[in-house]
Amino acid sequence: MNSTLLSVEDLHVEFRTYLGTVHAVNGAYLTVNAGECVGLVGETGCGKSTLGFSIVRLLDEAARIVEGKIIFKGEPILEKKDEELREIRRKDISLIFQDPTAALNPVYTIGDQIVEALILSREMTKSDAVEEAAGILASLGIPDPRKVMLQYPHELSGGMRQRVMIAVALSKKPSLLIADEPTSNLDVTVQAQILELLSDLRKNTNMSVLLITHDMGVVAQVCDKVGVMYAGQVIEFGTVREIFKNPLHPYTRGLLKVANLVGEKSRLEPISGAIPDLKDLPEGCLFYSRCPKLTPLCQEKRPTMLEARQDHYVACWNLDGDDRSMR
Amino acid sequence: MKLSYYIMRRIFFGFLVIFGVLTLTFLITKVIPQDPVAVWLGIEGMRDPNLVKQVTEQWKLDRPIWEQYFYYVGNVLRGELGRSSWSRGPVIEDLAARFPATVELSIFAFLIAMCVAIPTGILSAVYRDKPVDHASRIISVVGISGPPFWWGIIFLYIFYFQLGFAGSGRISESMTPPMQVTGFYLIDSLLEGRLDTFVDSLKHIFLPALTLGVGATGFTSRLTRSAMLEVLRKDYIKTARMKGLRERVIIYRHALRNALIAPITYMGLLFGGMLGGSVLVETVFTWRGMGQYIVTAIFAADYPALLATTLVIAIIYSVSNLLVDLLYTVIDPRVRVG
Amino acid sequence: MKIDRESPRMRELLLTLYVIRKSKIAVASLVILAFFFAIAVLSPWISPFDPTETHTSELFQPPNSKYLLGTDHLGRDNLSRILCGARYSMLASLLVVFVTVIVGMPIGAVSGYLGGKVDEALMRITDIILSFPGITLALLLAYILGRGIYSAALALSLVGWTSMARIVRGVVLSEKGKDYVLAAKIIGKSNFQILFNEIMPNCIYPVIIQAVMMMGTVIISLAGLSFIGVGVQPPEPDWGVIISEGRQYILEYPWLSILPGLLMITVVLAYNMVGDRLRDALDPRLRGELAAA
Repeated sequence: MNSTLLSVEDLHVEFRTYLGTVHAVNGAYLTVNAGECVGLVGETGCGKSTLGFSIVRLLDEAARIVEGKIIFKGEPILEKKDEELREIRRKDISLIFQDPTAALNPVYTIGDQIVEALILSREMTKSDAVEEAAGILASLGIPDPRKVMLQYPHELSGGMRQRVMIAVALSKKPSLLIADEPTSNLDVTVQAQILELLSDLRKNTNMSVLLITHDMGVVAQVCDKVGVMYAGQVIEFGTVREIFKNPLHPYTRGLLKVANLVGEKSRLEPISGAIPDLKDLPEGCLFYSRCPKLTPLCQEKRPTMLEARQDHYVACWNLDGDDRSMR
Repeated sequence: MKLSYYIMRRIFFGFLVIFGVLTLTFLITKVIPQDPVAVWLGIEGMRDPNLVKQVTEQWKLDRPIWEQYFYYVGNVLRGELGRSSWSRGPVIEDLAARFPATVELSIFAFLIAMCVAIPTGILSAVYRDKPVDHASRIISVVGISGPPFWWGIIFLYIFYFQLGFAGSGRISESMTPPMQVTGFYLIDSLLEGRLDTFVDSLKHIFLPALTLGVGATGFTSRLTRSAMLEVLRKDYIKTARMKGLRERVIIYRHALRNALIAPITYMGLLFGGMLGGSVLVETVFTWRGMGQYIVTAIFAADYPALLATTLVIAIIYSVSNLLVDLLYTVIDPRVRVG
Repeated sequence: MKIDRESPRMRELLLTLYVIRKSKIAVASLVILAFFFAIAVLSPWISPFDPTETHTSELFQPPNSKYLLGTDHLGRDNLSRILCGARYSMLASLLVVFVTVIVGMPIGAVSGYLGGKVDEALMRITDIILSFPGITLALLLAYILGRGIYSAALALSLVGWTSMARIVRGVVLSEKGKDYVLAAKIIGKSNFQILFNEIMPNCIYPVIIQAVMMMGTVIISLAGLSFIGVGVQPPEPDWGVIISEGRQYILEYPWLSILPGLLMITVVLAYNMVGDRLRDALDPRLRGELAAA
């Protein structure tokens, strides 16, 4: 039986800006078990990156987590003091960013940056760390690691920088890796390599991955479970197989159609309408303005996550009888 | 582009600019409304045609302009900067005496400015919107809004006239200056082992340096603050946080080196501002440096002195800019690769 | 010229004005500047006395009903001198910045656009002029040109165009490679047309910001030149001259020197505040937040 590594419950995150409060995350739920790869998918601006950063409390100053729980290895993250949080970051959770160039410090060599991570997380001596760093780089497919370690980030190619960033993240042998759009900045061939890398890693270690992406195709390739986000709310969550086979939320269905992954492959059908203004959210369902099936209840009350089928959660009031199955 | 090539190229262009400065100064000498011969000989001397001819030939003023130019450049390179029409002595000697005074003042002012501005900038960024931030920003912005010579007068008024702290000049009148080794009173007095002279010189250099540095301090403080804020937003700082580093380490090891790139870029410009501002500040504090020399030359209509001093200041500035550019390559590795 | 309400340029302008209006400091600064400009323009009429007129029997008067700010060492009315001094500071600096823009913009644009040898040459000239730190070159030039406010203004312009040129050159360089320029070339527009119609509008904002910030520096420089004696000549009242003359009497009558400085700080501070807000308004990050409105 898999143990629950990470659990996010009813998370709400706000940003204060010049023009009002932006409600970036509005009721997010997800769980990641040990060894699992969970995808978090949604269009740009749906709050998935914010959710990812909230887990490690890496948000900007203007952000506030106003409600919810984040439990990691049984401990509540939101209540942790600074020192304890730092310890968790140092040893147990890693984060990789969308743009590897921005994620690496331009004035230090690759070697310095990886060695620093190793010394902090695994308390190695410097010489051991250098050895280990070379080893990690080699295992990620980087030729001539010693030479690379003496170079600066701007001297490497985009793909190499990506691997270096991953090397830094993996050096602490984390239980959880949060990957924020790891493939969005890359061309398709490099993308395939990185995904393969991630798959291999998961096979060889028991590391869990939270993969944040807007690309359903990537989710289909590497993830075990997936959460679909819309306007800051996780509206559907379940195994990849189940969700792709039986998408219950209208938005999920629309997404899969648009991605041409499910249904008739004849026409591209965009979802009509637009996401609501995050500064001024409606009281009821956030998908109300674009949903084909509407009821008065939808407008009044925002749906919460309910288990519709086995291990398949949806936030919608309008599930047809045959959508449900016996638990 | 390799580093050594970059350095060579930068030095080459540096010299090119210095030659340009020489050329510009030369052109200005040709544009002066007054006849240099007349200035030198005076009304009496001009009456004697033989004297006029002698001086004209001696100064090669009858030759074509190209020859005059080469003659001029040759002179400058040999340190022959003309004779002061007022003191009749070689300008180079006057300058040799005053050069250390200005340089000492400028360097001291620069050091004070940097030592105050950069930490305040960092504190402002780290404790953003707290009282420290507001206070330092207000002081900075008021500092750069006031003319430096006025600040000098205010400081003199408060510290000297009201509080009796060191007055004008480099040293109290009752004391004898230290033995000349470098010409820098602070260094020379230490070399001589005379602590009383050192302390006195220090007291005297403090106010003018503060005045000279007011603008630079305000500017650098604000610049450092915004650079720091910019850097702290970057992803690589988030990476550093994810390594579990303490906040202080993140600021000093990861953020600072990147944030300092911006102020260092301006260092050359700021030092130049000190050299230029010395004209005003030295006047206010009766500091016997090149700046004050320029002002007295203006009132004595001493063109050779005026031009020579301006030239020397420009050359010092160009050299310091060159050094700052070279320093830049050490700090930011991205520059080294073209 | 048509004013198109919906054009992106118009929206940018409105956005900028909105940001300015929202900032209390910027509004206050603009009011202060308007006030000083009014004084500067109206000073000959609103000064109670001729600023150069001496009243030898009433030296060093404290502020009273006749002389609202007292008199100086020659018995001249301080208020009148300060008011007329504003004229030099506010208007002469405006002239300098204006000339700087007129000269610097074209040079910078041409230099950036043409590139190559022309650019190299112009930039070397700029470097050479900028090798003379601070007011050193301006001092020299002002002296040679014969002292006085116009010489000083001209000297500062001759030195100041360089920074404007640099800024414009930077903008042109980055715009040069963009697609819309290429599109214009394909259509067959001449270089001049491209430069003038397509690229120059992008320079307007950076130039305005630079101009505003420069005003403060120019005011201080002009006062500095007058302080030394190559700018405004006594007995004409310029703030720099007043400060200089007041130096000798600092012990007994410090306000002679102190007051003009305070006024200068106020004006320059106002310019700096407006410039800061303008710069913030153009900061893409902040604008992104605002544009969403």
